[in-house]
Amino acid sequence: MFELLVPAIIALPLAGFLFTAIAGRRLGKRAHLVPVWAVGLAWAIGMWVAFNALTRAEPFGDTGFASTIYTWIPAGSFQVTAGVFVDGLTACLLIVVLTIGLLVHVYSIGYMSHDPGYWRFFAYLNLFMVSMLLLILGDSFLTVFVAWELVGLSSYLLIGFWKHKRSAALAAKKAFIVNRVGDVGFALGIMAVFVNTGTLNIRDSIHVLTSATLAPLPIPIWVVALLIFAGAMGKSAQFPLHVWLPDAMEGPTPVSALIHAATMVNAGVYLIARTNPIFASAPDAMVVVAAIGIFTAILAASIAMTQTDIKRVLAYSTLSQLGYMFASLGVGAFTAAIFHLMTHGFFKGLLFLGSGSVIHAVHEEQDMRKMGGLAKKIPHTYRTMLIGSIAIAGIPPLAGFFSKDEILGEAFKLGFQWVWAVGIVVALMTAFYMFRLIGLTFWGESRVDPAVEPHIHESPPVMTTPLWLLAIPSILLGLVLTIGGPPLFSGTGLLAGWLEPVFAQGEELLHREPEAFQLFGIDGGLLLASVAVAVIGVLAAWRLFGVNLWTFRRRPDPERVRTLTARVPFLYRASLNKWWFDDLNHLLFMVIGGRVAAFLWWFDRRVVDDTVNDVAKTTVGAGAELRRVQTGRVQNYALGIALGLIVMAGSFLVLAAR
Amino acid sequence: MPIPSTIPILEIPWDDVLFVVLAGTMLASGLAVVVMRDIIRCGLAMMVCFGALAGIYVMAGAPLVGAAQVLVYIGAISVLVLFAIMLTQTKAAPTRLAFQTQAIPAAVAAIVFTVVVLLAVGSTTWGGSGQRGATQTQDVATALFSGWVLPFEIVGVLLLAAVIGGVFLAKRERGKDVLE
Amino acid sequence: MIRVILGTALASVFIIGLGLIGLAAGGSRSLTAYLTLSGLLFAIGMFGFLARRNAISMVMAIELMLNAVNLAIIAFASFNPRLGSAGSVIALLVMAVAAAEATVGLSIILAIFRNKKTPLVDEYDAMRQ
Repeated sequence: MFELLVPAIIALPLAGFLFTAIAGRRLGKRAHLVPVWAVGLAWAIGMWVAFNALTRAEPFGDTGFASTIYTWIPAGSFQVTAGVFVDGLTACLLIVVLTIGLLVHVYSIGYMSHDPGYWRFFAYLNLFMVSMLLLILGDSFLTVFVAWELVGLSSYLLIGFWKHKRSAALAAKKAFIVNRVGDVGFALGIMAVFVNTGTLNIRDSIHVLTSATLAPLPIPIWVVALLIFAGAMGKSAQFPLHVWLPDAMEGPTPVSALIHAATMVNAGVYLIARTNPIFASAPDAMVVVAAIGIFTAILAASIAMTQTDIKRVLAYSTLSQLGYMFASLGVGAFTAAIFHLMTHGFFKGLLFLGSGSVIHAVHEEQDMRKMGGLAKKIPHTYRTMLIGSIAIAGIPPLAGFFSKDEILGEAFKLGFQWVWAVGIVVALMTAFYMFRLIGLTFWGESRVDPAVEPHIHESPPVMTTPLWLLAIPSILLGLVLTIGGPPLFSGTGLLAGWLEPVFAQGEELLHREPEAFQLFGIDGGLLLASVAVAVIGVLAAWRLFGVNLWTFRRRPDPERVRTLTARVPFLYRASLNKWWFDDLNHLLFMVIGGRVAAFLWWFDRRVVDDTVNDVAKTTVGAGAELRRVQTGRVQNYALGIALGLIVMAGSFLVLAAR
Repeated sequence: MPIPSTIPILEIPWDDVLFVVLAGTMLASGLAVVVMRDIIRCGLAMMVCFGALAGIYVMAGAPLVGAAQVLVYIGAISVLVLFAIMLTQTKAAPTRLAFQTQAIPAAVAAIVFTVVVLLAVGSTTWGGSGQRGATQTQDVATALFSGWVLPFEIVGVLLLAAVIGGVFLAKRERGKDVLE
Repeated sequence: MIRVILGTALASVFIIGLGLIGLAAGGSRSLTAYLTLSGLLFAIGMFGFLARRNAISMVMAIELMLNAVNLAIIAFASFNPRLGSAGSVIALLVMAVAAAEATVGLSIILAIFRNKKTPLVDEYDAMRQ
């Protein structure tokens, strides 16, 4: 039965995409019916499959369920099959992708209702669902790579959805190109895997790679690991390939919620989690992963603190949380990374959809300096966003607290104290900028454009219902997934139980032994530190940007904000300018690269082309010169004959004389 | 007193004197043929050249060929050439330039050719001079009609073809008379 | 006029000089003299053929060249008794062929003259590239 059900999860959105692409234009306002129902059905099937996988029912068992759909490339010794593989990790990703995907689809019915490209949007959304599902269900590196590229394509189409807007088109191009850079690394990594193992099936190749301990591999395993990480860097926007994600906010908000918060950017995390034994065999590569991850986290958090566009703040926040996930993978806390992936997917999706609702309410204004005092006017949006912010700040007992602190705790206990230190600072900054966002948007005096103010209204239920539906896991997911085990401990708990067979080999290669949880020892201390830092961040934000929550009331203090920023002018400017990375890229690739390209163009024209042209010109010229011999006059020809005769006779004479 | 066999003072045989005179005449008139401006004068010089050449043939022991030279060359070909000259005269004659622009390279080529030939001839040891009797006409006739009859007949056919071709080529077009 | 005199003087000097050389070589009793004479005549004919503008002049020069060859054949026959009468026969045949060739050549020139209205070979360049 599952041989049919699992491919059906992919086939349903695919059918939805094809139908909408072909017939969508004529359906007008009803174009959403088929895509949304397709995703809804896929959600139902997916939940059933996930349930069976996580409870280890037959035929999933402990190792997961693999099914080959058909043989894609039968080329003698090079065989590639297209098939699906479902285990606990896949199930977790399925839950996140399908749930958030369905809710975004429903939300888009309301958000995009006035857009002339309504049908196109749903077609692209379905295409994206197909690609993402294929990515997480695929069992061979080649399938994953194809899905990887498809996801990039869908992202490009959706970021540049409003194609008449130049900034959107440029952002889409930037996203695709930067992704491509990472994809080159990924492709090289796949080739390295093939060279090493001769197969592209993920499980088989991992098996070969990790059991070849005696004979050295043609390509060292740390090279393979780093190449795969390069691909993850591109897709999940880690430094230095992070520059595309903030610009991707040019796309419609549902796109930002789905692709750039909850699903596509998690593909990198999924990839490394899937190939964790490869990484576990190369501890140096893991250190690189952790370093880049945590560096991205603090870089992004520092930029988020000064941004004024509401979606940009959330984008940098996503970058920062992704950095956390990679740091977690890098230190070896794989389960924690997946935990954070799931919780982050829900509350970041909630925050993005909420911001979309805010933008919708103030008539497409995205600058927070022109918002304020919206709490009473759009209550549903306000309350759900508040829940999301509390979750991401890491205040217990909401979801973010559990996952974030598990990462930090594991980092500290596994000997990566520097990761913990940076992570704690990032947690502080996270809490600060999130409540800065809430303060500027919902509390305080209204700075909304007077012409717009009377028209501020709450979003229709089709948009607020997904918000509330996402708020629930934001509150409860952390508690739910740690049932059966204490927090800050990845060895037990519901999620740990589900993912244990996935990461068992990795943990074994890293020589991990489960330790007992000490509430009044190190674990408790770390817990307290995380909570303390979160609270400090929240209070600092309240002090500067105001608060209007239950009994806490405080006015915003822009004067104090100004004096504080005046004290650290360099840091403020650096943060505002995104640490000048975009300018650096512009200089390197556009200016210098442009000069190199111009030089090469000159070279190609003048040296290469002209050489060929000169050969031709020489030939033509020689021909023209030779043509002058043909005068048409017999006497000239006769002179030639006479000369030839003399030469021959003379040379014969000379030769005969010898 | 009989004529001495050699010129008294210079000890040069009369044969050689005759030879030199005839050769000089031939060369001088040959030069005149190629150098003179007026074509008719060239034609006449050509006749003189042929005449001298006939004399040399006789001196070389081929009287029949000498006679044929006079008959054919002076009597027929030179006349033919003169006729052709007269038929192709234009009002613009005589032109100012008799020579082409490639006259100097041609002269150089001719001189170099001469040198090469002289070298070749001078450096070869020819076989014995031996007896030099005149070739009898009887022998020539016998050879022409026995051993050499095939070339003889072919040359006959060739002459026939030449005559027919010449007549045809030089025929005046009907109605198109362009003779000035 | 002065060119004519100069040319004539030069030519006579040249010829007399050659005459003396020929005498020294053995006069009429040496094959070398006859062959030299033949070569000279041929060179004169070659010069005329390459340098004259009138087509008929070219034909005359061709006749000179043919005669030079004839002379060479006769000379060889004269100094080589084994050839016997073959030399004379060959010379006669050459003469006949030369006559045929002169006939046809002059007819062609007449035909071209009718088309081009000029006997100058400068103008006969229809095959020019």
